[in-house]
Amino acid sequence: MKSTLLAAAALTVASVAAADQPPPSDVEARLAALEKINVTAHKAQTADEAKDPQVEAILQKAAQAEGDTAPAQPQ
Amino acid sequence: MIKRSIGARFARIALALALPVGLCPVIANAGYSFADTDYLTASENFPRWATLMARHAAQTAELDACVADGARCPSALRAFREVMVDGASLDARRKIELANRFVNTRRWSIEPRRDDDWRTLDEFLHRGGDCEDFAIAKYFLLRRLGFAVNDVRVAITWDRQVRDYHAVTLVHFDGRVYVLDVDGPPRFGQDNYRFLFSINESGVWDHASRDPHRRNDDVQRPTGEEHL
Repeated sequence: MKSTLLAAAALTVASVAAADQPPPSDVEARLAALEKINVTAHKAQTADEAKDPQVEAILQKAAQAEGDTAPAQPQ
Repeated sequence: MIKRSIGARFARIALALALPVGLCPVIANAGYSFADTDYLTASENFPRWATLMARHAAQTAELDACVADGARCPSALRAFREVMVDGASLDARRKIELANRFVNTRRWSIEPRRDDDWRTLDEFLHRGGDCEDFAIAKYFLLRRLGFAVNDVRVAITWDRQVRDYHAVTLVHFDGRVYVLDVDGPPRFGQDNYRFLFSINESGVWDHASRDPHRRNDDVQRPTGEEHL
């Protein structure tokens, strides 16, 4: 009888303690939602870009620098 | 009398022409605001971003050494060096165009949906990436080109047209918000996108939770169905 009462009391304390655990905060829930997102949309390039001459010159130089070090393509 | 009538008519025409022009920046920026109303938390609390930043910090020495001395550049970083060295003297608008176009010419590599890691600038330059990697690479390039942390963010969006999640870089410059996408020039706004979250080195902003169109459940759904 005594052990039954003790077990019931322990169960009650445990359940109260569990109920007191705070639910995951809204911040955590929203971060979890963000974590779940798989960002995979594929979009094709468009060629409608106006080209600024200064920017174009830098990009050409960059492509040249990359090309200088690229391994030779098989013929 | 005739003079007054002509004057009044001219004033009405001038007002009719001036109003839409004056409203244009407001309309153009209606899609996204850099205001802090949607601030959620510090970005270090978002594990995926915190991990990315830790890797980026570890790789910064390699990027710095490459910019300082071309002889210390691995081949994958040589184009990046040209962009950094010659791009430093451009004005802000051209820096935005340069970062956008340079990254958009990089290699697109599709990652498996279950293994969609977010790549640092260094990893992207070596291996390419998909849309969020393009957005992150532009973010770090713009930061290195001198844009303040408060003026650049990576945004996670829902693309209504493609029906999938997408990522873009946002730049606040000259009172406007530029959207840097993978498929063209910087734009003022993007009607097809619903902005869900945005992130930078200082914070995470949650735009979806304030959105009246947000769904109530946060259960992961298969491709093609938005879950936020």
